[in-house]
Amino acid sequence: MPYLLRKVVILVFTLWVAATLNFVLPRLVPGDPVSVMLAKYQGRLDPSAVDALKIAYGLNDLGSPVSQYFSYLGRLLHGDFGRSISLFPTPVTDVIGQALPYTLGLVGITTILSFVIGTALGLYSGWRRGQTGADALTPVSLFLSSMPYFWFALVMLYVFAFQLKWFPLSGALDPFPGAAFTAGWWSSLLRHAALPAFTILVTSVGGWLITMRNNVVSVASEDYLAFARAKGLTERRILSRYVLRNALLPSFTSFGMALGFVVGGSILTEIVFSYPGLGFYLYQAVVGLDYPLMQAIFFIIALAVLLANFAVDLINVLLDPRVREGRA
Amino acid sequence: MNALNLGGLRRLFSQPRTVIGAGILIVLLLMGLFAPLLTRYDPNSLEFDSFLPLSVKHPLGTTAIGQDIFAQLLYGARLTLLVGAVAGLIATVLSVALGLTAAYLGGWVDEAINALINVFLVLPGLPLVIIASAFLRGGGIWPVILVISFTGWAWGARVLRSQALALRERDFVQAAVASGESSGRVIFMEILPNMSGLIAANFFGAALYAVLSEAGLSFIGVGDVSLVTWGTMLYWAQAKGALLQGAWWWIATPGLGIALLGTSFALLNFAIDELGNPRLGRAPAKPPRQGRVPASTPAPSDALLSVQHLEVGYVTRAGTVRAVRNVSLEVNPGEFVGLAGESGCGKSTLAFAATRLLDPPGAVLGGTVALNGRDLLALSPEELRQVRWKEFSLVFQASMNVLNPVLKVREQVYDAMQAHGIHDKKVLEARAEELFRLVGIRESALDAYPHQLSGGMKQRVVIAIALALEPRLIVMDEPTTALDVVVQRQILQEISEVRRRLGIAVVFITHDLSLLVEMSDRIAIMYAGEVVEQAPAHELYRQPAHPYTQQLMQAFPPMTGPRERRSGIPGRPPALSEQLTGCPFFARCAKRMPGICDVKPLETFTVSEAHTVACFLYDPAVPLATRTLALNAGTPPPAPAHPATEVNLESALPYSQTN
Amino acid sequence: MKYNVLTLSVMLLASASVSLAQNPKSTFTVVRSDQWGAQNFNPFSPASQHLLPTNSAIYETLFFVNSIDGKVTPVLGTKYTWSKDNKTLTVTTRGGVKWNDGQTFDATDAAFTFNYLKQYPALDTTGLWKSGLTSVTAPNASTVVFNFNAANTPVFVYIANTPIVPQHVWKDVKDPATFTNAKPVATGPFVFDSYSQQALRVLKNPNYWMKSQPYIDAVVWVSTSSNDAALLKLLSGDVDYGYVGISDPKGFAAKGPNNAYWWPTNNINFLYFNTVKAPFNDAAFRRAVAQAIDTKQVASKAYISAVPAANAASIFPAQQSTWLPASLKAQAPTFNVAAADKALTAAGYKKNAQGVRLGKDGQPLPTYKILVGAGWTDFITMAQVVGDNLKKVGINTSIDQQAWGSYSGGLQTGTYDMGISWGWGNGSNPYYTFNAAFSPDLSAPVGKSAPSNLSRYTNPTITAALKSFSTTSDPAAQKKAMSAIIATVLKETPWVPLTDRTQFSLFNTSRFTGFPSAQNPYNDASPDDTAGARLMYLNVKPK
Repeated sequence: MPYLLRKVVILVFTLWVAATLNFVLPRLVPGDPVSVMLAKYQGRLDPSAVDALKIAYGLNDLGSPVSQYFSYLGRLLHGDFGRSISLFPTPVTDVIGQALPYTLGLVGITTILSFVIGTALGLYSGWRRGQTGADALTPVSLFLSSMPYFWFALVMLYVFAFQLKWFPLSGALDPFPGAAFTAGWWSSLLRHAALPAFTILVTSVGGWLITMRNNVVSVASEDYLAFARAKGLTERRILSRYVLRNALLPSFTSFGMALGFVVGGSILTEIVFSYPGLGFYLYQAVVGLDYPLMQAIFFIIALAVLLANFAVDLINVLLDPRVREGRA
Repeated sequence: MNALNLGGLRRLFSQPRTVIGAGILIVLLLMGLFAPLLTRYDPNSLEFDSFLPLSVKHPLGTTAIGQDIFAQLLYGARLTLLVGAVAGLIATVLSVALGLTAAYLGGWVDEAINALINVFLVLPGLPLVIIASAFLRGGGIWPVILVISFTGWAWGARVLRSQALALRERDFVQAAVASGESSGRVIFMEILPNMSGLIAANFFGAALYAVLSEAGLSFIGVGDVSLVTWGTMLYWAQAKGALLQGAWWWIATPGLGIALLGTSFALLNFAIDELGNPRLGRAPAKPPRQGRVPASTPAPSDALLSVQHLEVGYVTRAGTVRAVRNVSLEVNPGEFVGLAGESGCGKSTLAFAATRLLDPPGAVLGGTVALNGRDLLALSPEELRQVRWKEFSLVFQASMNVLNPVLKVREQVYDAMQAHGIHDKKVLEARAEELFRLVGIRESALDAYPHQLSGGMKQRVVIAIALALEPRLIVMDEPTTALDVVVQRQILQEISEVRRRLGIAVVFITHDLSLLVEMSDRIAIMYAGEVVEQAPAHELYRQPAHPYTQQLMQAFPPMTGPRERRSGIPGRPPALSEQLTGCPFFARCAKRMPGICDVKPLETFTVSEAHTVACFLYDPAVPLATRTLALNAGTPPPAPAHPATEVNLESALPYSQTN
Repeated sequence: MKYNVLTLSVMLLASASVSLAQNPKSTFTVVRSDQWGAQNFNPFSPASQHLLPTNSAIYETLFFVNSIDGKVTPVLGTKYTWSKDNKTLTVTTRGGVKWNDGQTFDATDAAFTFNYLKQYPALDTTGLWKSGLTSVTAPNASTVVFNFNAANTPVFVYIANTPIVPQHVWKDVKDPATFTNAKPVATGPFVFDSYSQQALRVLKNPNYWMKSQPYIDAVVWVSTSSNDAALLKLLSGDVDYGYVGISDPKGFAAKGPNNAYWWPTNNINFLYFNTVKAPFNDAAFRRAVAQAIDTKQVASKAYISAVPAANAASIFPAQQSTWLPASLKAQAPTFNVAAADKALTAAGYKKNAQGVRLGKDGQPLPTYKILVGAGWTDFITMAQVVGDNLKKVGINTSIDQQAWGSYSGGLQTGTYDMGISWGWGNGSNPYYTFNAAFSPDLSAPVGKSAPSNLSRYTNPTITAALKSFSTTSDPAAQKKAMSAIIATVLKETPWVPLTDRTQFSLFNTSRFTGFPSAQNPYNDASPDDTAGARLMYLNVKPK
């Protein structure tokens, strides 16, 4: 249990760092929220209207930075992220609520798929070392994972959506897809998600592949594997009970960090495909200098990644008996 | 091993991966460096018409505002490479500094830095950079570089920290600290050089991250878009609707450049990683399968195990190392055969090769291994799998890792039986409990995980598993070497007991001759890949024939009796990669016959019934006079190259005769 | 009684809209190249925050003033007159208009709307109550009277463009800045039907006060998120209209017989000089610099084929016939590098042996920064071309990209050298441009924020002419004042007009007729979410 307790403490600490970074960074930027708000009016604004608007947006009388910080933390704990400036007066939580399911769906599902496929291929590549197919997977994976996400996305967009017209160019749904969760709606959703998902899948599978391959190769030279073969176990048994479980463990520890990278990459993918998830809104918020929205999305992303890490740590405890007793 | 010394570098550059990676990098570098020579246009000048198609004058056409794309591609290489290299460098410096500080200073500093690393690792990088990037707009290339380094150091710091932690415990570092070297010197002269490979690999990883980050940031317009990098080229292409205009090359070429640059970094990173961890590399060359050579059919024999003229070697690029040379050995049913020899003499290789557990680059080069008359080397993989464990089993060296750490012991006991057709749960359970009783472990150990058991218990479990299917032969490779003496004794007694009761033949491999003398029926002595003597145990003990055996015997102190000077055997065994003519023991033999022993091909001669020796002192073809002279010779061989241990000048005669 | 009528009409309305919802026969589709926000129909919110149909299809104003040529079209107001002293404006409101909840519209709603702006100054973004308005009353059900304390006729356009809201709903709204008005009660030709992130739909208002219009049953907006995607929809005929700033509208039109565009100029991008800083305080220097800039090249690089160079006298093409006499046209500076070079030398700025321009003190001129918004590709391109041009006469420049806050801040506080920005005032006649740009009321000392006189240039002639323009409603007097302003600006060159700023209307005419165009400019080609678009929705007819 101390293992889990440590993980919880780190989780909370990291969240606090994320929240503080969130607070500090935008305030280091030249310019202030007020002038950002004024940008909406393209400069043609009467000074008295400016004052009144400031009051309406809650941007007056902000107090010292320290007091701002604590009231920010306080509001954070209540889940009050304020109102978006670019989409005023929509509360930020509403915007996030709309965007979150798309990102969870897109990123969540493709990450799991990518993990499964990458691990399976990595297992093959490591176990059948020396065969051409298995060996070729390594340089191919290196190339795939060195490609810029967004460039690949653009190429996909150009070939499959623009030229071949097999998939739509942007968005998450057709204009009138029908009621939610009907067949037509699902078909629309899946057709729009196909290219972004494929992009994320292809560019992230390489990393899993190589990690798993390396793990498998390491495991293959362990004594217990030789012993298992000596016992005359079938190859299937060796692979499933001896190789896979042991090779997966290190992959799991890096899963959390890899998730952070995948989230980052998905932001670029969402931008290219204009897929209305969190990444897309984060980009819009940055372009529009909408600080409340920016901060909230960053916080949610950090929270999601941290929670995913924590979940992985939990799974790790289940899978690795050595960890259960703190003897990792 | 993690050091990039000259040998390492040579190995590094012999790999195709490194060559390709470095090659791509050099080409791109040259592109950027020689840009003014390769194109005469300024990448920023707007003088041309927009969206011109590909032509000789404009190999990649022009942009939406009339700039030559090919010129932009070439000049863009400079800034892109600069960002990659500099940001990678800064991130690596940060990683090294923080990782090493944390590892070396330990304590709360380590905790604090470790926490910092964890936080940075988990915080999603790109969103962080995007938020921080509001600084970056229009600010030139340096804010971009700094922000990327700031978010990219954590991964390297974690890796370097754990490596430094491991190095800190190594003896050469401890020695340096103990001898009073300052912390600075220890870090820079002892630890850092040994991590050079890892640091280099880390640099390439960080550079890759930097290039991709800069591209991503520029693409979404966060960063200075008036500069010319491959990332900003993509930004402008997207912003000006290149795809709609059909100018797909404007998007394809910078992106491809980034992908190639990234790949080259990744290849170099991977290659250097392989260097430090050779197991990760390409599979060693598969030596030709010698196992099915039909030429040598096994000579008929009623022995349980009959090894005939076995040749085993390791095939490397530098040549073949012959680890087992022309070994012939027989084990009768129920017999306890000891196989002794010093480290590196080939006994483990023999055991693994005979049971077909030898991994490449090891290979059987000739000979047969017959179990119950069937040549093990000629079996198909499925036949072998069925024979394994039922006919013969193997007990490994008592290492930490012989049992699968993530499975319960019970499963590992069961699966040996399940693989051979026993599936009834009740039968499995009963048998497992019986086996454990046999080797003296309590049944509750079945539900434990391997890491919960002590070394001795683990080894007992392994022995229990080895007995599971009542094989007729068990090969034990140093089963008790890693255990303490008391436990050793217990286990040996149990082995002895079990063997007698069940009538199992045992081949017991060890370097500890004294053990074998007590327990074995017969003993074989190996030296430099050859079996130099085989005899019943008591005869070997009383009348060792081979000079090597004699000297081995002299090395044991008796439990009782006066304390006497012991003698070791000066010198070292010959390198097995060498081509050896004659007797391998020649250089260290006190009874050598120059002109005979070092020239004639080695053969085995009979001393008495069941006692054979591979020594020319017993060669009837050599004149008796010569042999007797040598046998009685007392002069020790010339001093070897390295300082010898004490030499007992007393007598070179067999031990028994001094009594 | 009234209650029953109300219920009945609501039910009728409901059933009508249900039947329409199931099957609108003709749908006019508009494409957007960005994503809209939440379900907000508050007409007082800034444009980017309320949904697109709010002020273009749902709410109506008193009049529509065409920002290109100044023509006034009656909407909820039928007639307007200024008193002789131009201090009182009387507006007659239309009868027979109903709110879409069944209640009657009358002048009290209009008066309420304007007084509501006084009550909540945050909504008064055009500063009506600061422009001399003292009271707004509705003496009877069809008259609204606006009283001013000083003559200010140009303010009419702001009054005309204010969306009118029902008193019976908004009197209870205490927090209008955050009120999202999810169920808008309005007088316009369409009513809200459905909202999603991908599409918005409004249906024809069955009780609209125009009997035969609109001709269409529904307007649908679809969102895409890039110009490319929107353009593709237009090309493929999936949509009928889009307000998309593509780089090559001529190419778009050439791609098919049903592709059309109308991009009238409604503003200008200027190169502002900071006239309080030397040498930009020297008119001769400024005039010479203006001659060195090739505005045609600037326009063609920044906007491929779409947007022409600006008129050197700062008058929009549609307004030139009214406000720009031929004599003044001839006085405008023309692009001539040699002449610019000579003029600079003559003004006391010689060139040294290396070709670098020297100041009056003999020292080389410093490198001047051209302030643009960070990442704005068109302004960056313009700055690049201007820099190229000025280099040829020995003046060095660099591009200074700043995020919005510092960009506008720099312009407004006078800390820049040169800057590129649009006209911070524009409208249906050049008064709006010149007033915003050169009025001393809209300037400020260096360090303080000037609302819109970014170059901090004032001139007694201009100031007087502005005043006389704004205190009269007589066209002849106004023309005279305007000529004086133009002549002075041409002589003093406080800025250089670089390129036009246009609207970006693109059409696919395969399904409908009646689009606005240069031949039929009944609106000002303004975007699909403005009051001008309302006329388009009213006038398009299925083929």
